[in-house]
Amino acid sequence: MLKIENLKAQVEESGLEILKGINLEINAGEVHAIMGPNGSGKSTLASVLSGKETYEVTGGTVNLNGEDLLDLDPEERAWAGLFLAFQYPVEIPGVSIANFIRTAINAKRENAGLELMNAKDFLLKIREKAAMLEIDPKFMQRAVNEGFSGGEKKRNEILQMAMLEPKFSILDETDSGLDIDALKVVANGVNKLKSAENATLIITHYQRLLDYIVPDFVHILYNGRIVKSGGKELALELEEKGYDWIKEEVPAASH
Amino acid sequence: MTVQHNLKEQLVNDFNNYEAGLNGDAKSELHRIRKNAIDSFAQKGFPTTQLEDWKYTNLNSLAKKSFQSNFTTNKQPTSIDISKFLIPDLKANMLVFENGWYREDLSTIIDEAEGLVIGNLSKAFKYAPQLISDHFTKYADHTNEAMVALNTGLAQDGLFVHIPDKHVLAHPVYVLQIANTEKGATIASPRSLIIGGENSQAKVLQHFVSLNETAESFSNSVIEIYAGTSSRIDHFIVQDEAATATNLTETQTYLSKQSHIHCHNYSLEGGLIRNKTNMVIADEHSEAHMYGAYVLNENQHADNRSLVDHSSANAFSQELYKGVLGGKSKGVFNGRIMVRRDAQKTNAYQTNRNILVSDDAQIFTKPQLEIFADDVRCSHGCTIGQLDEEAIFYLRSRGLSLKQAKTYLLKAFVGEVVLKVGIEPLKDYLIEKIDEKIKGMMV
Repeated sequence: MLKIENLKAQVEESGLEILKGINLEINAGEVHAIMGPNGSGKSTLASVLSGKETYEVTGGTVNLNGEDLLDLDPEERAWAGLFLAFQYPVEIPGVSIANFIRTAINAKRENAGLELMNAKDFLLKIREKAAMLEIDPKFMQRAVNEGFSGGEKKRNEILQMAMLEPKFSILDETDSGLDIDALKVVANGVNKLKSAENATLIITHYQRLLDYIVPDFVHILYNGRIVKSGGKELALELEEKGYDWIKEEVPAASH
Repeated sequence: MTVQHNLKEQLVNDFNNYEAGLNGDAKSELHRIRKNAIDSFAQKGFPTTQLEDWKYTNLNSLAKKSFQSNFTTNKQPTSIDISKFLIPDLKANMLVFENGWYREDLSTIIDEAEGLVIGNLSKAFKYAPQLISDHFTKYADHTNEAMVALNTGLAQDGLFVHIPDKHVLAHPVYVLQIANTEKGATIASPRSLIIGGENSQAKVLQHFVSLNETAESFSNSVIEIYAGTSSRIDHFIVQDEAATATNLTETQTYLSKQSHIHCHNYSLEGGLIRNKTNMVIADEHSEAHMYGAYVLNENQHADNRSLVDHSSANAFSQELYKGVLGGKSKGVFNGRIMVRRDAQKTNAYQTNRNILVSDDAQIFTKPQLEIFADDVRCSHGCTIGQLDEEAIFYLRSRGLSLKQAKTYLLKAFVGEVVLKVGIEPLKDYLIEKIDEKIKGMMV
């Protein structure tokens, strides 16, 4: 589904290289987790994959289902089936969640030359997804992220994910700032949305989200490169030994 | 060499000629007021940019052009197709005015009650002398404000609404103010007097439109609103005129004890627009709410000024104005809050936010708080900015194109104000109009 080869990227403004050659392959039906200490390049990877213009790709390729992702604008990546659950979702006062999601669905449909989704079908669908994610229907009438708690913001991201039905989702530090109940709701949502046709990449600093979403593969990102890959037990090992273990074990990777 | 026209002299002469044609009426109290007002205007002349209040709105070129004054109404009114101006699904008491004159033939009043008057001023001068003498020209200042003086001198007709005590008006009053310049450049002086009795409620909407744009139109409007004890008046101004139109509107309100006034102002189309909204909090526990939005493009100019005069204690006022400016447009916001010495426990808030969508657009915004009481809560905030890049990226990552994302964010930005409109069909109409305009601004 997603194939990253030797991806290198720098901060557009300063020219500081953050990603120094990432290689990663994710197949349909798989859940991967990328872990790493602060400053290792985790969120940069999420930003580069979703097309944020503050980063400049200086080398490598990213392929999503046969399409060269790096050639596409952010909206084209969304149409191609990519979804990023933001670490810090933006507040949009004056727009309800329902209106926002319907606009997004129809933007995608319009691009694909499909008929726009009418209000009735939309309502049925969002009710169904909200029920599945245990979200109060009243939530959808609130302005997008305005005055939301951390948990509400992430719930909104997962609701959007459920409605947009992406092929490939990236969850960027979805667990940051969440209490355990909110974490469970979000994890539960991700687990329910998992299918043989889609794939998920979880980016996280801590292991605790992986107690609830069990990954097929865990990768450790350090200093712009993936320095270690393994199964779900790698996350536990990391939790136990801490990031210093990686720093000591792979000094070569840091330079 | 061309001799420049002097509009002030022309209008004063027009008034004198009109006066000479009057017989017994020249001695009436009403005429005395008009005469005083014209004298005041003659003395002051058109405001210049030397005046702080007119710093950004220059009437200089206007004051050198010729505009027909219209002291008499057309005996044989031409037919006008008003259907294109109407707000869909709005069931209302509809009054049509052409260049300030009432067009009874095009108007429909649906609400009736004892003491309820929804009609025109020239009739009220005859049939409601007590209400006229109690309220007419009692709030808008025609001795110090030149444009109020000019309106008071020239206005022969206008809107008159009286809501009797304890009456809740069933349908809004919809006033269509049409500028018609088919006979050349014309100055109109729309005048309104709205009186809300004790415990009464009413909604009044004034919609300014242009019938044609072959010649310039100049509308100099004054609206007086009196809210009696425990009454609530919602007043809406929608300016949607031709690019050749000048629209100056002064709204002067008076709030009695426990009364509420909500003033909305939406500036969509028109060449030069200036609105001044003055709220006088005359008694305790009253509330003044002001909402406004201006969405400007090309060479449009809109100057919005407000003054909330807290002269009594325990009252509340709040103001929210938002602007989107594209093209070479220019916007001005000046929000003044005055809290007088006795106005203790005043709560007053004011916010003005602007987004510039072109490099050539300009906005001048200035809050002005003058507080003479010591136990008050006042705050203001004004911002000028561009669209948030993070928000644009968020929307694009959800599948909206760059243009769609920008349009969507601007709609949401203005939407915060429009959602406060308490007349559903008007709200829908404004949302659609604003959407359309913003789309056109995104090139």
